[in-house]
Amino acid sequence: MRYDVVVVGAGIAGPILARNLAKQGFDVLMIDKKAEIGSPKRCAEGLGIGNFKKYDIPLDKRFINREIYGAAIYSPNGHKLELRYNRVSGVILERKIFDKMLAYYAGKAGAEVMAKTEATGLIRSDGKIKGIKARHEGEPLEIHADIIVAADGVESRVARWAGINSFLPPHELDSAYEYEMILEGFEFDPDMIHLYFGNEVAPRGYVWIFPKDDDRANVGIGINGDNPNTAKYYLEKWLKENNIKGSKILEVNVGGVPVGGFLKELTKENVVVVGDAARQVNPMHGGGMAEAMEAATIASKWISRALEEGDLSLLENYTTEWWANDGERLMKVLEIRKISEKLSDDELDAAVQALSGADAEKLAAGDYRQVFKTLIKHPKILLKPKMLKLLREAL
Amino acid sequence: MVGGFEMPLPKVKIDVIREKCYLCGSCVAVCPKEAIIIENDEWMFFQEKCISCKFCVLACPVGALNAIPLEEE
Repeated sequence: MRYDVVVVGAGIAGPILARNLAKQGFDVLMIDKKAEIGSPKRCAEGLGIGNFKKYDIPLDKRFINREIYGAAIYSPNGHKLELRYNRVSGVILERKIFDKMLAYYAGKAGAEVMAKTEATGLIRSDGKIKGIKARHEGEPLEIHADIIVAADGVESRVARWAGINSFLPPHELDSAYEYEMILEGFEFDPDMIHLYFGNEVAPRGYVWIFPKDDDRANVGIGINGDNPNTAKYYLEKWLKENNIKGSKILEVNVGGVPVGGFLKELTKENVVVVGDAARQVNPMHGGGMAEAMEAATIASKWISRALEEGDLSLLENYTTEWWANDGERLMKVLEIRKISEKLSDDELDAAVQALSGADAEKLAAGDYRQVFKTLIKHPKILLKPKMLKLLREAL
Repeated sequence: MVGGFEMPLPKVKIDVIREKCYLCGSCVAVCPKEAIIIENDEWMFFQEKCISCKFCVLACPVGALNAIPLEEE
């Protein structure tokens, strides 16, 4: 088997990249180890509405559970910060269908797709990487390709085989656990996503409610990966404290989220790393779909150029361009996260009270200097010396 | 960093409670030595690669992993 490009992993980055390259006429094969692309998912399924147009994805109602109009953030003692829009700001997807449809779009554009096909190693000869070894139902395959794309998720093996150090220490991972469930006897606005913060609630992370119906939602948690307690322990604790019975659970999802920084080198020789495998995740909220789409877009552009001009060194431009744009933005977000994770519950309360909706929006975009300058003068924050020090250090 | 440890860590073997494991790959991601892999929907541990850091036990979202002390030979 011989292709221009072989893509390992059909999550978000893989199919977008495969589609873009197939559209330009390249021979692309995308493999995924799962028998059913999209399942099991490791995701809370929220995606900003702007990404559909930006990455040329149809708004197909088959993978949209619900439209969302904003977010509500809750501090440990119950203060609420609301970011509500008068138009749809995002959707809660059904990843099982979404991922499969993304693979469908890749296939329609001309890519070949093989589910239940797992990469098992690299083909090397003359000191060069020539393709990947894979297995389908036990049958070994040798897939030769000019370029290999590692879109194989947080546990990426392809990147490591290529000699890219993608080891992720536990403190750079968020450990996540989620139920899709019917929420009974618990008030929540199903048009908003709800995020609950607090050191006792979710150390370093938050509890989320992402509604799929007015009584059905993804209810999950992310916590620091080096916490001696499990994510499941904290979610169960939160449900109990809020008198939510876990008696109507429709799905359980588990996963690790890379939130501690991004791969410095996104390519090595003819191997290109994208998405969770490259740690391209927003370290504040742990979402990685939009980041994966952006990385796949930049990577596909440079893969296309490298193939056209027969010059693999052009692939390095993917690293440069990604770091100059999303990389720089996400590094700012990581700086904010590193401050917010040091805040006590008292300080979190003060922060939520002091922030306005517009501030929170700027923070989420990584535009923190102006917000911090305002916060430093806020009466609630002036009473918190440790927080003032953290804010000053960040400026 | 793991490589900086001067003292060898007490040797352990990592056991999975397969019924609890979702094969989410968090343990694979945090292993510095590729001592844990998931292949063909199977969780696999390689004692000879393990450096006993127990990162995998910490990172598991559900507590499906245990570190069992190994007797010194």
